[in-house]
Amino acid sequence: MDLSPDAIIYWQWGPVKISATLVFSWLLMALLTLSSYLITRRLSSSPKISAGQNLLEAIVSFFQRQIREVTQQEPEPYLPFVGTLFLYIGLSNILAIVPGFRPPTGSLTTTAALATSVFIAVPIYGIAALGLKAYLRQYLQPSIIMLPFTIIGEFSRTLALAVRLFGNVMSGTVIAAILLLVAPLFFPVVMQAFSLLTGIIQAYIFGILALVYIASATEIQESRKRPKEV
Amino acid sequence: MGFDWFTFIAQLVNFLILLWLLRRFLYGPITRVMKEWAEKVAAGLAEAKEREAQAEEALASYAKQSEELEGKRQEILRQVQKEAEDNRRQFLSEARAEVQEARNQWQLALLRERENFLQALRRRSSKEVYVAMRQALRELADVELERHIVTVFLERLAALPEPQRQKMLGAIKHANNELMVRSAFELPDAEHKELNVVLHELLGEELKLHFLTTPELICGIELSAHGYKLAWSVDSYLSSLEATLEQLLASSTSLVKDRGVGA
Repeated sequence: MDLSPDAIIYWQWGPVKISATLVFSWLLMALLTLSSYLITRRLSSSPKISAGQNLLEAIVSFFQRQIREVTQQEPEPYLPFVGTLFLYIGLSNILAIVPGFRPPTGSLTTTAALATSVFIAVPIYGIAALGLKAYLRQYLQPSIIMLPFTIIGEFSRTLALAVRLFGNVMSGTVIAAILLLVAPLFFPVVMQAFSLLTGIIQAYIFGILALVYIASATEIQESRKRPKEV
Repeated sequence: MGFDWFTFIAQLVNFLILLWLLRRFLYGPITRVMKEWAEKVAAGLAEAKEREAQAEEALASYAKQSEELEGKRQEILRQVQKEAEDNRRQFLSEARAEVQEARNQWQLALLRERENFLQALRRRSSKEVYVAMRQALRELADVELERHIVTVFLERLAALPEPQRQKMLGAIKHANNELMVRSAFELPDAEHKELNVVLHELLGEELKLHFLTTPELICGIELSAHGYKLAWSVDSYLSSLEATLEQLLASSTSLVKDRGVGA
């Protein structure tokens, strides 16, 4: 039994491997993009809207509300990044209950890639908000001695993000597999249902953490600007 | 279970592609529509607020107008009531005046009627008295009395003032010297002759006398020529009395008229 979808390789040419991780990722991407396209090509700003538009509006409003609560800023700049993280991870985890579907989030490479994207996004948002100099200066706050720890913190939290998601999703799959061996009837179904909940929670945690990191990089600017304004 | 760097890079790229795709097909359109909708709602609310303000303004304006109209209505009502009261008083006073006028007219008419009646009564009674007197004198009258009358008449004729005599002469001349001598009874010869002599002496020798017997004179004698008349008879006395009575009655009527106007 393969625990990670990375191990399932459909096609290989040298270092180029088309694994189940990539295939199911593309499937997810296609599903998300196509459904979004189908719904958003007929949008209406009248009181009567389609069910799909209603669903998307509800999801987007939920994102906006969450972003506004966490960052205390306008949600527009952060919405696509955080929203995409949540949708990708959430849908991937939900579809885990579909027989034959291997969630890409169950592979360490995917979670590492997502964590890395957060790792890259944080300085980008920070620099966009503060400017390069001010952003880099915050690594020296409150003292230059803190610089190594701050850098270690940056890396460790990225690693934690990746491993947390991977561990949770993989554990779900592993538990389901073990339970199938021990008690093949009924109990795995309950565990599958439970994994739906943990999957959504993990997606939420990942998104919120990414948001917190980004917010912390931009909020410093706010707190430093305030005394100047006085 | 190793770490596949190719898959890692590929997933990183995949995520970036998905980010771009969702930004293009999901977040962009949805946020735009939501913004439009929010703007529409805000615009609708603003419009509703404006309309509410307008409605409140209109309401206030209508309330003010209504108040003004009510005030005007009360004013008009007061005016009309005052006019009605004035008219009522005027009509009442006019009606009172008319009633007073009618009463005055009626009283005057009553007074006139009474006066007319009294006048008619007086006239009638005087007539009756006159008729009775005439009857009595007619019964008393005779030739002897007439002779006395002629005697007195002749004395009076002799004492006739000059202007009257001249007037009589003028009249006789106009009547071709003819003089009518009327008496109630046939005059006795002695009086006849005496009268003839006296008249010829007084009025000229060429005088032609015509003697006539007229019972209407009752008792007495009358000379007449061309409208001039000289008489001394009971009838003339009675006529004079009647004329006096008429005059008295006429003066009493005018007195009544004066009183009627004064009332």
